[in-house]
Amino acid sequence: MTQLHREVDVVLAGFGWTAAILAHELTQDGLEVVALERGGWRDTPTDFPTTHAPDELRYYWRHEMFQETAQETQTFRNRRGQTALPIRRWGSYLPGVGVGGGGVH
Amino acid sequence: MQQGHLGRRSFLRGNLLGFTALVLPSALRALEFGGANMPWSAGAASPPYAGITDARYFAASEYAMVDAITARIIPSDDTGPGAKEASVADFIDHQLAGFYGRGQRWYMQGPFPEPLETQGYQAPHPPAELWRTGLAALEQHCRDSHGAGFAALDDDTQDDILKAMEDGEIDLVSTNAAQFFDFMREMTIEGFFCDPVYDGNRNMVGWRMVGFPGARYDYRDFLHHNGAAISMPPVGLMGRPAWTRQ
Repeated sequence: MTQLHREVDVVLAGFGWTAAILAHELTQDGLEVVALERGGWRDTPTDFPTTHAPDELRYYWRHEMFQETAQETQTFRNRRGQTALPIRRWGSYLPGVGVGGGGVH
Repeated sequence: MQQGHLGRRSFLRGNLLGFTALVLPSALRALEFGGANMPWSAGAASPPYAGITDARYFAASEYAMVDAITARIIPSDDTGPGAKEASVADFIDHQLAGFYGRGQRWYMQGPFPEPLETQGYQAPHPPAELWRTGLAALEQHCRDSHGAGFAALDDDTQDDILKAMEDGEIDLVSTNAAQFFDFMREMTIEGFFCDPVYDGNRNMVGWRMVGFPGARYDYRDFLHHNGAAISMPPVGLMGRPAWTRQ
């Protein structure tokens, strides 16, 4: 089903740090901006409260704020000739999801 | 004197003004969001223990094995308390009973060929099943080669077996011994140093051992301590026992 929204000047795909800075600059210049974000809304009082933001197990080791590989992942190998396998648990990089994107790490 | 006196009437007026000043900006902000409410609601923050479960996963015999294994990975010795004092087995038991044990957030479909070392977790089971399969295989190995279950063996024999697992020198039925050992080691460390809300690091023994004061929000008060050691009792997400009225 097609939904038509009001036309705006700029549409940002994804609302991580880059888009947030762009949105700020563009709206300061008077342009109308809409950001599309595949993940949920996040804000400081709800998602980054100082009372439990230091939960290292939850946020650092269990990657609570990042894309779940169950939903979407990539395959990995070091070089050609090897067999790439799906990344099941994130290691060297953390794809973000939700407002703030990868920048919330 | 008379002019500086704050009468009741002017006090009320002042308060009303202050009140208006407080209310107005939020009303304006609401307008910015198309007249709707702010996109968050007060008190909506998820509690610190979200995702923590009291559910248990291990059978009694498995629990005894895990208690014994973790106690060899972080032993209680003259350097301080170990995995037993920190109740690491309880931590693992709870973790495996929850989303983590089910591998709920992980891509767990095939293929599962022999992985490279750089390809991370590639066990064909989510963590809870990996532990169950691995423990059964390890117990079988102990009975076959040592005539007793793992928990009944002496410390040195237990160490030898774990070392051989780590080095991949033991063949366990349907379990990659080295992969399983890595995972046991990782969860033992997690359980020894996690916040006590997760049931490991009991009485903050892990933090006390390394002098970690807890993940406090703000250390600005301690920036200018001129190199002197900072000694603070550790504090966790739920405070510390001394704060709770007994």
